[in-house]
Amino acid sequence: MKTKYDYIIVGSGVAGTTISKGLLEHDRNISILMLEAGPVVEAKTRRGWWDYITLDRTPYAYTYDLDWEAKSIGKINFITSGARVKAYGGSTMHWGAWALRFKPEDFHLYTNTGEGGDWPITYDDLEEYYCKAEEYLSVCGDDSENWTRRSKPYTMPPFKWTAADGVMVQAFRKVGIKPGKMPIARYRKCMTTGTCKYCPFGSRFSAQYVLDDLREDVRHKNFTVRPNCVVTQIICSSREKIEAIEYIDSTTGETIREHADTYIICSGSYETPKLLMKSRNSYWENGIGNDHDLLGRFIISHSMLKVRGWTPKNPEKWFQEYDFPTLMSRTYDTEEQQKKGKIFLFKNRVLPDIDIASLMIAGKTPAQIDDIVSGPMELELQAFMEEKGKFENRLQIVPGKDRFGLPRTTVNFNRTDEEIANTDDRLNIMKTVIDAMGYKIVYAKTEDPGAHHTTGTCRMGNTPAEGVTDQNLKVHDIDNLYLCSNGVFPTGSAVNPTLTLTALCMRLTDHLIAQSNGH
Amino acid sequence: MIGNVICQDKVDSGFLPGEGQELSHQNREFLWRLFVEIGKCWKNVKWDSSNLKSSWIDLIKAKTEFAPSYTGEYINATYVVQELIDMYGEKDAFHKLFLDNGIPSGPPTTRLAHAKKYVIDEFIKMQVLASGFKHFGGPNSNYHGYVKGSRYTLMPEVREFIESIEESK
Repeated sequence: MKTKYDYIIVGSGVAGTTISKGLLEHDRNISILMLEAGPVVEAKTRRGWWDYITLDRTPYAYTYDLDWEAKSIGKINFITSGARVKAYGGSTMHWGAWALRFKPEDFHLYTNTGEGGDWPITYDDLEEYYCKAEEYLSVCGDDSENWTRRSKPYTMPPFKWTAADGVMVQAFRKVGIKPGKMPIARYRKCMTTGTCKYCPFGSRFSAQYVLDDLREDVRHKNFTVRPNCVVTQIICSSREKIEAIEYIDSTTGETIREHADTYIICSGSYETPKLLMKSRNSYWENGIGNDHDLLGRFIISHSMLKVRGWTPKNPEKWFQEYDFPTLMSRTYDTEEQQKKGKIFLFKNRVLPDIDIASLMIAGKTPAQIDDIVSGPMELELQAFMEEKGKFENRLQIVPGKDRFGLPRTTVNFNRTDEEIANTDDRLNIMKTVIDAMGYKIVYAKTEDPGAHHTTGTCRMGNTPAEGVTDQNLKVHDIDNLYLCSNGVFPTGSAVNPTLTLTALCMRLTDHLIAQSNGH
Repeated sequence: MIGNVICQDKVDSGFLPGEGQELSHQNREFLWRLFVEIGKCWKNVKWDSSNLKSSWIDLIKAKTEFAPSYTGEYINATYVVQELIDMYGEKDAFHKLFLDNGIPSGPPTTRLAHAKKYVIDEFIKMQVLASGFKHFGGPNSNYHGYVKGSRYTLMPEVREFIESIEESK
């Protein structure tokens, strides 16, 4: 084995993969060791796809957290199960690939509202990287919508609204909401199978495909990926310097130490702070970078607001044809809405849910199926609502390990009465849309947050008292340790985080290259 | 529940063993005939499902050549369906099997229930996604699992909502 790498990267998801790709494109001979706690799950297999179709079973679902591995202990149930794929390639194996930019005001939430946090960088600092990230992920979008300023157009045209979107598009306009087309990461080879969660063609971006390409490229002689390797400690030689990473190879039980010039922790918003918390020593008694007790704090994700409407007839026999929503709006995702809570609106991707096969399996006759298809129909308007990070909302390690050797987790998440009242206010806005459609409201509710979009747990800040890392994602007071996951975000905005994370990865890569060139 | 000694034979609810076995030509022909009957029952495909055969072969291959193998389930299904044909005649056998089988809900604990869950139900799902859905949806509809094709061809990949210019203002 090599004695010292240029970089050790912990985590093989979109962050670790994107950084590796950028570094290798700059210098094919650079030495990178990537360590991944989870196993390799094969993509694009025929059996895997057929099992997904016939059994609704994906080959990576067994890596999802079980309830005893990540528990919610606050008043609001913070749902971790099903949120993250603990495997080679990470959570882009199962993501929906909705790829939206944060907006300029999202970087100044504390300044604008007195709540949450401020980023030590601005939207303009990240804008060129948003353009690069959209190209890399192959984001299809509508330039004419103009939700936020951009210096380059989308790489591909948007997916059009489906016929079943029409009634909601018209209702949006009636109530003064501007309808838009969902920006989605899909390559040109998309064959519209609607089986995005396990695409048979590899048409939806997945870090696994990029990682496979990097490993198979014969020029990358010094790029090594080791799955089933759980990093247990970061070892310091002084307060300012990381000397080594210690990990356990789950397949052999061996404990191994590896050394690098620079370490980058890309283990997601849960495992990144947990690893630092666990790595206590005489220089960092409370965990690496944790003198101010910020690790695991300010945890947020998105609440999901839902308003469902019902109509007695579906004469056009609509059913959902894509596996992603095509209709969305950012009308309430603006600076004016930050205090009450921004919402990102979108039409539910699975309704109208006419499962023809299930009707046949249940023994319905052709005439009965015809009646059901053209009979009562439900549509649903959903929204992600921005949460604001609070110090007391936190993620912690508890004794014990999960099935992959990672420490078990608790999440303590709560909301204020004012925040709960604000969600009701947002639901009332959404109800006006269902009313304008002429549909009867079946329910209007706020669901517990899912951990898919968790941010804040090792946030950026200008000083060690404000954040774990600086604006370049370097851990304060440590020369050679960087963090790159959703956890570094001081705010969560109202939209999905992956595009912003990818942009940050590309910015960090440029910074690392500049550092290595002596700038 | 329909059937007799074979259909109602009690078995474990887990996969029927079939590792190492291979489907014979006769097994395959019988299974294809079973698949075609789905289209005849619901009248939702054309050309006696012949345009779906390549997808069906792909399904059978994937399900029998990779673990856990469905070979045991497929062979079981041929015995089950043959008993029904012997008892009720071909037309009634398939009608009862698809629309009026009397199988109780819950894990499959009879040979008939195994055939329904692991063979017939999965064949139905495959048939619907391979084009059977089109009969029930409007023109140009798409469906989860259907390979509609590239979004860059002239045919629309889904039923689209097209706004008038006045509406979009």
